Amino acid sequence: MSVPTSIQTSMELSLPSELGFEVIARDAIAAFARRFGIAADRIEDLKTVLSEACINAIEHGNSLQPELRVQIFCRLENERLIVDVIDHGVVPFVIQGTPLSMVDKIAGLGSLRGMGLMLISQLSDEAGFVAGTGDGNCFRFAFCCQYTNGFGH
Amino acid sequence: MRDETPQRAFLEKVIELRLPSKLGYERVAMDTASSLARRMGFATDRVDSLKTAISEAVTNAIEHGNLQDAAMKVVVLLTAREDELIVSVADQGRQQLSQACVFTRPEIGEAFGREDKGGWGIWLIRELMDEVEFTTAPSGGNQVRMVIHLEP
Repeated sequence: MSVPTSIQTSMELSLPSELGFEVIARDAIAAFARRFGIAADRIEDLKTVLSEACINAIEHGNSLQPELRVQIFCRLENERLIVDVIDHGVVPFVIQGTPLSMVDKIAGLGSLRGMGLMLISQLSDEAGFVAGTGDGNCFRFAFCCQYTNGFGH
Repeated sequence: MRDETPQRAFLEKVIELRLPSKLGYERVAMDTASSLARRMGFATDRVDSLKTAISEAVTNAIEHGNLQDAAMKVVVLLTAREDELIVSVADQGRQQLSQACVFTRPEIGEAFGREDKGGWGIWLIRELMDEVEFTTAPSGGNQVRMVIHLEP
């Protein structure tokens, strides 16, 4: 019996919920993405997006509690690289009105913080919170792999 | 025996990586481990040794322990302590590692005469890491525990 492609092309990473460990996750996901021949500039975008998602999980979802964990699930599905970043949901994600644009923030109309989700939406092909299997927040983002060079999975 | 005092345990930071049993994924383990080791302050040559050792361990787990069954996972645990990095690589034990393999010391002269030039992985791991131990994983698979010390 053949193994489903999604199992052959998936990996899981679990990190301490501590600022700084997102850097390790960046290097892990870059190595994973390189396997699919994704262009170097898109891998840099992917690393930035993962960093922002991990920092959100550590700072907000896990409320900077170092004994908690951040789980990252990566898979290739239908020519898209899909990444789930899951925290413990100490602070559940709540949509708070329409966020200020980066231009407004730079103009001093609001805090310079809170640009992570905007950055993620600009760099990834798809991003947002999805229903997870547990109580935590599950943030999913995807990158289309139209830049693959044809190397094997 | 591992020191499990509360103070010591508090200092441990564990990263867990679960990879499919498919050749090529050892690169992900290598890059993750080297990223952690660099940030812990290991010298470049020690990071290179670590990358080679982890590559050999994961390749063995994929090829021999899991017999390249991609549905089976290889679990890599990276435990960062103040003065050392512990790397554990476990497979799901489709094939048990024989004790004879664990202590093999290949001879290069003899290897030249063989069609299959392989069989250097475990020897390399022992040469490159400060401590190496082969055990059975809680899941029943093969497990190699490697330690590299952070020298001041």
